[in-house]
Amino acid sequence: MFKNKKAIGLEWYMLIVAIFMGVIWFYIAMQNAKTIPNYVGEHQFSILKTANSAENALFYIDQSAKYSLEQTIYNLVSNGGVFEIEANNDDKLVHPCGTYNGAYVWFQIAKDADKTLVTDCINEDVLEANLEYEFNTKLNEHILEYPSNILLDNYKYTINDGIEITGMAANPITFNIGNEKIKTTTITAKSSEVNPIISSDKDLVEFSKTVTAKTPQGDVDMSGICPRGVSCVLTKDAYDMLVKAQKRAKDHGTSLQITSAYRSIENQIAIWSGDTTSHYAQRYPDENERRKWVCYPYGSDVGQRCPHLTGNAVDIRLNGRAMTTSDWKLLEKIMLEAGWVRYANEPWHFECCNTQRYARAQELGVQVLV
Amino acid sequence: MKYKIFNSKKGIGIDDAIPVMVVIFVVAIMFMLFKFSEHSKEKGITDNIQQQKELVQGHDSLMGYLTSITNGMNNADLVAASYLNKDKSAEDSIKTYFSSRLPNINGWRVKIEDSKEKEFLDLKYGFYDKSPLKYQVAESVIPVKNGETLKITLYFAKGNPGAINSPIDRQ
Repeated sequence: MFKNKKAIGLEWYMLIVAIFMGVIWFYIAMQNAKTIPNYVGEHQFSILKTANSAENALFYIDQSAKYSLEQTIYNLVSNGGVFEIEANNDDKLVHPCGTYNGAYVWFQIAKDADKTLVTDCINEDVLEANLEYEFNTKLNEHILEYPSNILLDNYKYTINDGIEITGMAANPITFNIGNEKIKTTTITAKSSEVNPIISSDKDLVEFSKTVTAKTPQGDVDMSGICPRGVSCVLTKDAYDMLVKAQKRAKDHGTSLQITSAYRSIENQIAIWSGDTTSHYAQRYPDENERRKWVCYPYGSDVGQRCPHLTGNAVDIRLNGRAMTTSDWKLLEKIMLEAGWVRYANEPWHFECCNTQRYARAQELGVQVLV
Repeated sequence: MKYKIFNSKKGIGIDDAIPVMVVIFVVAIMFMLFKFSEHSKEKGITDNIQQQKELVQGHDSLMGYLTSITNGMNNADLVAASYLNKDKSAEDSIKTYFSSRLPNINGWRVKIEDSKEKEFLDLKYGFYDKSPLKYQVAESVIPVKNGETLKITLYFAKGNPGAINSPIDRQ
């Protein structure tokens, strides 16, 4: 080769290199063309689409409220304005004057020896309470039919003249833009009494639409754990423990159902103040009595005192069970096996991870405590 | 130098120029392909933005229809009542509203299904069936008094040049 008198040109080698580089360049260009990252206005359109979903949901609620009121008035009139259910408390009440030929009696006139007793069996307060109760029940029925999850029992009603009902939402309806992982930031306090309690950038997991959870031990069926109308948000650690509990429940031939999980401070204040249809403030006007049922949402230590605010507490039950004593016992067994700690005064309330109660339980080596 | 070249007895063979010609040819082909891919990319972006705009337009139209009030009731009530009465009384109001609201769309379709996904109404307008590109632009769910729901879906049709701004044949 080195003795060859004929010169060897580089052009063919250069041609091969040029073609090779060209192919690589073209391949890279085509790869970029396949994905269009962050085109102009992408995020804005994403927000607009979310706003459209919100508008759809609000319109659905408006329409549902209109039909619910019509149905409620019809039902009330059919029943003579009486429902034998005390508003906001499912205890059955008996109408004081009973019925006559199947109709509730409004006035009762009774003769007792020489006296005539006239009893007015209907009062406006009962009528309003019944109207509100029936209206809320009907509205919930409509809301449950909506494809997205809208919170139930989320309105504080005011009944105005002319049978006009105004509903104020206690908690905002949330529509996530993007993925289902929620990053909370420091919560803005509504009142000077309230302290922000959630540390910024806490990882919360929204699992209302989760059907299957993947674990190293295999897939866990999570369908039905979050019923419609319930906000299902927990910390990642709590969610992992919930998956564990669900797996244990399946082993026992049953499954779990959340009734309450993470609450925002606004949500907790609304529950405390009676701004939701649970009406705790009205049922327990005495604050000391109310504290037995609802966590007091004010003060600097609220974040430690109210476990639902941490995202590490759940109110839970067995799916489709009547929750008899044996059902509560089975629920406790399942949850404790998965590592949760139960609040001794409430068979449905369990905590995990870094709540005060959980830490104390760990110290004491118990799994049930006050 | 000039003398040397023109008076050279040695011929210049075309084979000496082949590598250069091949390089130029390959570069030209790649440049054209690159320009084409860039064009496709830009077109993709433009189409995407256009489609997003149509989603907004579709939503506005659908909500505009449902919330429009006629004779003391909004059109959502009208559709729900039409469903309950098993009649097609909502058909005319849908055709009138959307044909006046969407004059520049080649064709549109409004489909209404109940909660069991059983079709209640399916209205097509303009060149909807003939258009090669059809897509959903808006969807809304409304309640019915009996506790059911109705899903109303709006579709647009595109890709029929000449039909834009031209009289639309009623189907």
